[in-house]
Amino acid sequence: MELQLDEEQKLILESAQRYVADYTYDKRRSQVTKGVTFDRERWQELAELGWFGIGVSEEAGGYGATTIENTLIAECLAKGQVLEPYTMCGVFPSRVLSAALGHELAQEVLSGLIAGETIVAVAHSEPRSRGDILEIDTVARAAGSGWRLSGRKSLVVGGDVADWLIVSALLEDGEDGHQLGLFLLRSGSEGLAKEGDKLVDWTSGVDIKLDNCLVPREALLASGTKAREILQSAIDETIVVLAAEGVGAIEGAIDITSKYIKERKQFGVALSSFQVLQHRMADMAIELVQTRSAVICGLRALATTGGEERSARVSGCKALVTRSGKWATSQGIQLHGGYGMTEEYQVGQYFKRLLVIDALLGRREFHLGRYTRWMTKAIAQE
Amino acid sequence: MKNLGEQMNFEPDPVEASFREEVRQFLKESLPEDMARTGISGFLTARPESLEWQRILARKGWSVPHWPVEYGGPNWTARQRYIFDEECYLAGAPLPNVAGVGLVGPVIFTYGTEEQKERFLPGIRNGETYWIQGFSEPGAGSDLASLRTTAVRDGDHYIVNGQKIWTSHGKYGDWNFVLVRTRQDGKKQEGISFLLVDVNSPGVTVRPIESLEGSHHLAEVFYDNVRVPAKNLVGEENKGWGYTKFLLFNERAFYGAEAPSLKRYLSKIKRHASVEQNGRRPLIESPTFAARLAELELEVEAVDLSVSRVIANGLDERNGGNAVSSILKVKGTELAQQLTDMLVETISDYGAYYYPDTNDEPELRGQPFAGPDYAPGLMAELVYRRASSIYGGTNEIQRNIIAKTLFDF
Repeated sequence: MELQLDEEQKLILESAQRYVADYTYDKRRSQVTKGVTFDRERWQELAELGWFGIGVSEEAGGYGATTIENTLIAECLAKGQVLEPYTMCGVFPSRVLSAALGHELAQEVLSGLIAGETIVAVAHSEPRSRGDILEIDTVARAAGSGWRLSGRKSLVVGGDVADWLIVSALLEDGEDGHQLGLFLLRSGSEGLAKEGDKLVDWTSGVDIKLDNCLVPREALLASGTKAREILQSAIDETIVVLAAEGVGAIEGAIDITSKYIKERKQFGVALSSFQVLQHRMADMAIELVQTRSAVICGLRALATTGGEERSARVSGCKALVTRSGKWATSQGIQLHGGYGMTEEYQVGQYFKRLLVIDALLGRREFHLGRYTRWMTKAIAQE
Repeated sequence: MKNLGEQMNFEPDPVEASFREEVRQFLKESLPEDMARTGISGFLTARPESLEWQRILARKGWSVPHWPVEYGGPNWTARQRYIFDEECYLAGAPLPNVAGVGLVGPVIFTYGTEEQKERFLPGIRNGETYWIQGFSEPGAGSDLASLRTTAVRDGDHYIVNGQKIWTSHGKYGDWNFVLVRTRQDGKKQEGISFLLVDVNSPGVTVRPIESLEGSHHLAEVFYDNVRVPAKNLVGEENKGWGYTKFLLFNERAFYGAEAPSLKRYLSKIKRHASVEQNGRRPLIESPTFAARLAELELEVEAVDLSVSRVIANGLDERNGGNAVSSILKVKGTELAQQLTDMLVETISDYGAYYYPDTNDEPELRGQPFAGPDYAPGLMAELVYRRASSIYGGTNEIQRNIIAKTLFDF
């Protein structure tokens, strides 16, 4: 096991750091004020840096590399509070599409995604799923040569702006009953509606309602066990990248809070002269080291394990990062005092990002539960 | 085995795996069973086991893993040393005499004279001499530099007067490294010297302290006009504080995170919870117990990975930079406290029973006791673990260091 970044990874990290250095909080604020959750120009900039092809095999039209590089980018973007959802609309759909290798439409949409020209959202979660990929009610009924989809998808990141949607549904095609299917459809399809506005951290996310939405036969990317494996693997990888976003948010909160308490004076002295605040920041720094290591544990699981163990270890990574991350970023607010509660001060955005990360792809309750069940089973087998 | 790889690669290293196998094989052949039993119990390792194990390791050439080759080190990479520590812990090998191997040894080979190296290093390496540390005083704990034990030069001797306290394994000591004040004026850090004192010298008195868990591993050491040859001064007079910082950094870096001991706790909890009953089902099937254990396991794996990152990358910024040893010390000791608490929980009612320390008082071995075989020692370790957030610089001092180092407050 080697734990050093190679030269190429260092270059990617540096270019991501440079990108966010130019992405000022004022830029973000002006975007938020205008009600824009997703700026296609910005999205194009990310594509030009080559970031959407990272982690996608060359065979599928990507640039190779691994999820490690995705985590480096995601960490920086979260630290820079970039609104555009790199993880959920870049990494997540690219994993699903590249796994459906040989599917012509998927290949075409993936090329557009990598070029930054096509926006793809994954519409999978539903209000009662809570992280379990098979707990969905959206159905696909065979209709003529195609399918009709009905159901409600929640927390669809990019759902408000996407050109294409990847939708999961249970196939009612008679043979083996309710098996999972993954569909790729245009966002303008008839019978498709959006509900909701945006997420609490001002990033994109809405409900997608499907009402007898007619899709052609070739919209089916995969079904049955294959669909489940594709989706599970894509979600596992996406979760580790999301966890890296959490690490970026913790680091961002620590950076600005440490500067703030050095400048802010009360009782005639800098807040940073109070030991109770020094110790709080030391604890935040401890959690930063812990969570970054937890993300690397997640990356290690992706690279070296499979099946149930892989998903369980990924769950463990998210369970640790969301707990520590919510705590550390909330302390950023606490140490800013009243200003921490204002929209104008950046620190609160990090906390809100952690709230959204916790909700995405299954909350801590689900992930800690899944890790625990796997651990218990492994103990029994020893 | 590579120390500087070109990339992050998670595949298990075959060279590493074969080294681990070699260590396991050695432990299987050379670690006596009764020694492993006393090692794994939770009671602290006593002098005979500690030195005997050191002698066994010395015959193999593995007794001073952190030392340079010229002083008898095995020329291992940091990764190999970590694997070695981990395997020893998991097998229940006795703890070495940390004050000798881990603390004073490196000070002597780094700052000592040739004569001191020749005189003291072989005894440590070969398990002949037991060293104890003389740092804290009744009035100098976290504020170590305000220590008051004095050494006054008298011809080719120093005359030492004063008192040390919280000396671990004090009653076992042959030799004692002591911080003494050799100058009264000026900055308090600049009047401290590092002396090596023979515990059998006239005027040295070791008085064991009874600890909360009932053992006598801690001691007070009194110095009453003790004559110490001037050649036992390490380095220069009044420069002892620098050597002390070197020593404390080593202590935190090598022993602070205690990742191997955390893994041993986890494995013991799992073993006990699989056989201990909760009603009619194994304890491990209790969902709340299992979830709490899972959370601790995730934390331990992250600590273990942090240590691996330090080994692979040194003190890089993404890993806590120069504060990392303090970061790992705080996290590692706090986890050790939570884990030993859970370990006692596994034995239910027997977690409230008093079991005498049979490492400390071997004559009590073999006497019947209530509860499962593995009950003795668990509570002692839980109680003893309260000390780990105090020794080596309290966790509050570590937090001061972290804040100062990372944020320059």
